[in-house]
Amino acid sequence: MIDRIAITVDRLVITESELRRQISLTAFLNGKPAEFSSKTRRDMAEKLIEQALIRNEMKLTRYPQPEAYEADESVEQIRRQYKGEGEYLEALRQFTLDERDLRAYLLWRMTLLRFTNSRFRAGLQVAPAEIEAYYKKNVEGKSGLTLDEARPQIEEALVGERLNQALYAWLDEVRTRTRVETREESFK
Amino acid sequence: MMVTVLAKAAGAVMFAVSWRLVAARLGILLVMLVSCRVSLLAQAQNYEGSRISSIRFSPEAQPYPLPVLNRVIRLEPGNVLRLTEVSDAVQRLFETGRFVDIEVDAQKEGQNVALEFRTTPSWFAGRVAVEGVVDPPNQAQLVSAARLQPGEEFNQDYLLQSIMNLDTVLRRNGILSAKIEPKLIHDAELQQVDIKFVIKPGKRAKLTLPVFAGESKRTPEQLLATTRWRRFGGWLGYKPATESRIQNGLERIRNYYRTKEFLMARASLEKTEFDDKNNLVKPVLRVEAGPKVKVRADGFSQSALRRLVPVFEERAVDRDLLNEGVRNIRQNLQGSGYFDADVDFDMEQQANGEQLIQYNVQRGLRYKLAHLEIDGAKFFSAATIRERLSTQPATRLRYRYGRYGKQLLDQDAQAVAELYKSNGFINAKVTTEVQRNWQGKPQTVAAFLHIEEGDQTVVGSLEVDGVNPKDLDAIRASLQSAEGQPYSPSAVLSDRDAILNYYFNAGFAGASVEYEVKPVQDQPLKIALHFQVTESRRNFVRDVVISGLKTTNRKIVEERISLRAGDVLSQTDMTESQRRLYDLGIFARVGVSLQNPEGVEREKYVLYQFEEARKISVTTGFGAQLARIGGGVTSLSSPAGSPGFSPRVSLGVNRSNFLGLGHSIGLRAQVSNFQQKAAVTYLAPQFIGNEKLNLTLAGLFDDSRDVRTFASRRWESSIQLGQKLSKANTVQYRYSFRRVSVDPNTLKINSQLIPFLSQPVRIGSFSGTFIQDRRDDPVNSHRGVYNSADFAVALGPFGSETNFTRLLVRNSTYHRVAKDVILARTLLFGVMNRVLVGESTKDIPLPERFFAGGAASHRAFSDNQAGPRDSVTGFPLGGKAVLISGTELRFPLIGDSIGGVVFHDAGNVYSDISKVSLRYHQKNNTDFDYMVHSIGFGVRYTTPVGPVRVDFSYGPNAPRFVGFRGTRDELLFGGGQRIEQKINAFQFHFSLGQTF
Repeated sequence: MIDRIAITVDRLVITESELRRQISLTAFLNGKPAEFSSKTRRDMAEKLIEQALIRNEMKLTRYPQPEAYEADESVEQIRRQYKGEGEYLEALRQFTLDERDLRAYLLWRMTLLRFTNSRFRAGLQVAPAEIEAYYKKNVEGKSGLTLDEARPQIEEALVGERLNQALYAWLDEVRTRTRVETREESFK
Repeated sequence: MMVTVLAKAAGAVMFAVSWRLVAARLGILLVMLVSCRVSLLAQAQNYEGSRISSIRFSPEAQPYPLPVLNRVIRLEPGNVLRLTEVSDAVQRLFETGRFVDIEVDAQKEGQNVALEFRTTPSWFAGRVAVEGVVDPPNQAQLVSAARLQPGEEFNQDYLLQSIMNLDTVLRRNGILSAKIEPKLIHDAELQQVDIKFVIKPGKRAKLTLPVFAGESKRTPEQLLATTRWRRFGGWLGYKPATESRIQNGLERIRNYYRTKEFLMARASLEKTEFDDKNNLVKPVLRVEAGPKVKVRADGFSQSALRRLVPVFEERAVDRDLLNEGVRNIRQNLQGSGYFDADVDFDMEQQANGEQLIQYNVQRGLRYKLAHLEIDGAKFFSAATIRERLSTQPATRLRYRYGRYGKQLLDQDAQAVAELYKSNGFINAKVTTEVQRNWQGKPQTVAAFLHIEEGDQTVVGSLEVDGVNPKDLDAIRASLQSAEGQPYSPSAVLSDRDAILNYYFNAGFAGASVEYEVKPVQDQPLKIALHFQVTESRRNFVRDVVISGLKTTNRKIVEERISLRAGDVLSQTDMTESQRRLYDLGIFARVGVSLQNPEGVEREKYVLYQFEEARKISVTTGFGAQLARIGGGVTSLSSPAGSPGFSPRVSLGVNRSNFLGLGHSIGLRAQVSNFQQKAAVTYLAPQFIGNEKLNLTLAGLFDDSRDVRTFASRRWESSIQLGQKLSKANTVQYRYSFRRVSVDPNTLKINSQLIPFLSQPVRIGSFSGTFIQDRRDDPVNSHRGVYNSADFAVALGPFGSETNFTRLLVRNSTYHRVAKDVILARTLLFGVMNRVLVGESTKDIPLPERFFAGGAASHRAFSDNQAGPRDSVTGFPLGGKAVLISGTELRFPLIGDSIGGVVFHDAGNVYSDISKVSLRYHQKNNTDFDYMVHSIGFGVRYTTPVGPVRVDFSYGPNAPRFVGFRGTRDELLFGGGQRIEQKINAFQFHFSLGQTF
C-alpha cells in the first residue's frame, strides 16, 4: 500500500504519505534525521489537524493563495546553505523529498502566516506601560538597546503573543465543532 | 514575508518568542538547515517516479462511472507517479463525500507501477420512520428525536445515538421498557439507508407521589392537587406519565402562585426518577414560593397591570422589568391623552414579609393632539408622508384625543427618514417638535415633523463583475438599482439577494456576491455601485429519488416534480415542485433534501420524501340564521317575511387521495328549517398534471325554501373544468343537468298559476364563467377590480325540457380615496331569455329565475324579496332580468377595529329585459319594474375572519303590493282578505364580510 487516509478533518484528508512528508520536511529543515515513530506521527498529526482547520477556514472565506514565485526567495535561502545544486538536491533526496515538496511547504507556511496575521492581528494593541515592563524584564542590561531602540520590536513581540493567544483560542473553539476522525491503524 | 523580516530584525530573539509559539503548534519550525542524512522512508518511496501502467478501483461497483472517477483523481496511465498527486487524488475522492475510506495500493509491473484505489462507500440516511408507538410521543416527535436528516451521512454511531435519543423521549413520556429495533434497508446503488425504528412500547408508566423540594409555603398535598396528576383526587390513583402532563402540572403550579401574587415563585422539574421495576415515574420538583409581591397602581385594574407590567408575564421581579412597566403605563396614558403622564414606582418590604410595588401615577392634564404638521418635505408630498405615520391628530370619533406618544412620534420620524434614505436622500434628517396649548387652546398639543431632505444621491455607475456575459442582461434586469436612479441602501441589499437567487436557481449553490459602494470622483451626488460575483461550482441533478408513497400513484408525484436527471439543480424548481405537491392536499409532509449536500460532486441526488395525509376528514358545523325569514308554511300573511330564526347543522366528510390519484371525494350535508342540502363532489386538482386545470364532478340534492314563495327541490349533476389563465383570471366550463321541481303545496301564488309553475322541469345546460379578480384582499378589499361573467345555454339537445339563455355579469371596483377611506362600488346585471326552438313549451321554472334582495345584494329588501310579485298573494316570483348597483364609502369610525359605511343601493329584479327601467316611482301596486333605492349606514367590526357587519337601510321608494291575509286553503277555497302592503322602508341586516 502506498497511501491511505490517516485523519479526516470534516472533508479534508490527511493521508499517511502526507504525514510522512511533513515529518521529512521538518527534519530536513531542522537538519535532523527523520523519525517516524508512533509518537512523532501523532505529534505531527496534531499539527496537521490544526493546519487543516485553518485550511477549512481559508476555503470558506476564499482567502487568496500566494503566487508560486513568492516562495523563490525562501527556496534560494535554503539552496544557499549547500555548496552546490548537486549537494542541495542530494540532501532533499536523502529525505525522500524534491524541490516541489519544499516549495509547496514554504508556500503553505507563507499562506498560513499571512492568514493568521490578517485574521487575528487587526485591533491588537499594546499599551506603552506594557512595553516598558517588558523592556525592564527581558531586554534592559542584556542587549545594550535603549527603550526607544527596542520599542518597535517589543511592541511586535507583544502583539505576536496576543495574536498567538487569539489564534489558539480560535483553534480550540473551531475544533469543538469540527468532525475530526483518526484512523488508529495509521499510528500503529 | 513576516518570518524573514523577523529574522533580519535586531531583536530577533524576542520575536522568536511569539512566532515560535505559532510555529510550534502549527508545525512550522523556523530553524536553519544543517545537511544530514536520514534513513529512507517507507517503501512507498520506491514507486515515486515510476510510470503508471494502470489504474483500477476496487470494488468494481463504485458510486461513479469510471470516467468520472478518473476525472476526479486526475491520474492517468502513462503519468509519472508522484506520491503528492496520489495524496491529492485521495483528498478529491474523499471530498466527494461518497467514500468513508480510501487506500491506494501499488504493484510493480516491470519498470511501471499499477495503482489500485480501494474504497469503502459512505451511506446516507434515507427515509426515517417509526412504527409501533402510542401517542404521545407521536410519530413526528419521534422521527424528529432520531435526528437523522435525510440525505446526510449515516453510520452505526449515528444509529446508536438515534436509538438513545428515542429512548430518552419515550422515557420522558412514561414508556420505560420500550424495545427499539432498527430495521435498515440498504440501497447500494443510491448508497442510501432507509431506517425504520420498530418500537414495542410496553405499558405506559404511571405517575407516583412526586417529591417537592424547596420553600413552597404550601403543603405537598396542596401542590399535588394543583398538578392534577391524580384521578378524582387520588381515588383512582395516578394518571399515566407523559411529558406534557408533567409540564402542564408544573405550569399549573406556576399559575397558582401567580394568582396568589407570588410573582417570584419558581417551579421546575429537577429530575425524573424512573422506577422500571414497578413502572412508575416520580417527578422531583423544586418549588420556591418566594415572597408575595403585590403590584398596585391607582386607576389601573389588576388585569390592566397584568397586561402592562411584564413581571407577571416573565414571572420575575427586577428593576428592568419594573421600568418597562413604567414605560408601558406611561404609553398607555399617553394613548389616552395624558401626554404629560409621569410614572415611577416604589418597592417596599412590608412587615409581614410581602413586597409591595406601588406605581405612582401622575396623569396630569388630558390633552388632544390637535395638529400634526410636516414641513420641509419637497420630494414627497405631505399627504404621502402622512400615510406612513402612526401618529394621528384627534378626530371626533375615531381618535378622540389623537394617537400620540413620544415614542410613537420618534418611530414615525425614523420611518420618514428611512423613506427618504431608501430614495437616495442618504443624509436626510427628521426631527420632531411638540408644542403645548397650540394656538392658545388649552390642553391641546401640536406635533411637528421637521424634514431636512438634503441632496439626493443617484447611482452613477453600476457594474456586475464575475458573471457569464450571457447572463448579464438577465441579472441587470432583476436589479432595483439602476444608473441614474436614486441610490437606496435597502435596494442594494435586495439586489445582492436577487443576484444570489439567480445563481442559486442556476445551480450555483455556493455562489457569493460582494458589493461595494463608493462615491464617483468629483461627483459627490453620485455613487459607483459594484457587485462582484463568485460563481462557484455548478450542480446538476443526478436523479430524483421519491420515497414514502403508500397509496399515492407515483405518476401523480412525478408529474409535479419538474426536476429531471441532468437538469441544473435549481432551488426554485425544488421548492416549486414541493409547493405543487402540497397543493394536491394529500400529503401531510413533503420533504425535499439533497443527498450528500456537503460533498463536492457535480451531480446530486434530490430526495423527495412523503408522508401521506389522513384519508378521511370529517367536519361538523352548527349555526343559526336570524333574519326576515319567518312566516308560516301554510299562512300567506307575510309575503315580505317576518323575523324568524333557523338553526343550521352541517356535516362534511372528505376522502382525499381517492385511488391514489390525488383526487378527493367529499360529501357535504346541511340541514336547517329552510334548506336540506346534500352534495357529493369529486375533485381532480391539477387535472392531467396541469396545475392550471381542475376538474369537478358534482351531484347535488337541494330541498329549500329560501325564497318564501315556494319550496323547490333540485337534483343536479354537473361536470366542470376550471382553468386558471393567470394569477387574476380564471375560466370555468360547465355542463349541468338538473331536475327542478316545486312543491305545489308550498306555492304561495295565484292558484291558477300553480299547475303551470309547479311542473318538474329537466334542464340541461352548458355554461362558461370568466372571473377576473385583482382585489388586494377578497374578504375586505381596499383596492382592485373584480369582474365576472357567466353565460349559460339550456337547450333541448343538451337534455333540457326548457330552452333559455342566462347571462349574469358583475363588475366591482375599489378605490382608496384617503388613507383609510375606501370607495367601493359594484354593478350586477343579469338577463335570461326563453329560446323558442324545437318543441319546448315550458316556461323558465321559478327556481331558475333571478331573485335578489338582502344583505349581499340590495339592502332595501330582506332576502330574495326584490322584483315581481304574485298579483294575488304578493309573494315574490323572481324575474328574468336583474340590475343592481351598490356604492359604499367605507371609513374608520372608532379606533382601529370599528369602521363605518354609508351606502346607496339601487336596482331591482325585473320581469323582463325590456322592462328594465331607471324610473324612481312605482306606477301602481302591481308595478315592480322600477328602480328601488336604499340609503343607509352600517358598522363593521374587524375580526380575524373578516368584518362583522351590521347595516341599517332606508328605502324611500320601497314597493307597495297587494297581499293576501289568510291561509292557502282560504286562498284556494275562498276566504281570507286581500290587503295592500308595503316592503318595510327600514331594513336591518347582520352578516359577516363586506357586502361586496
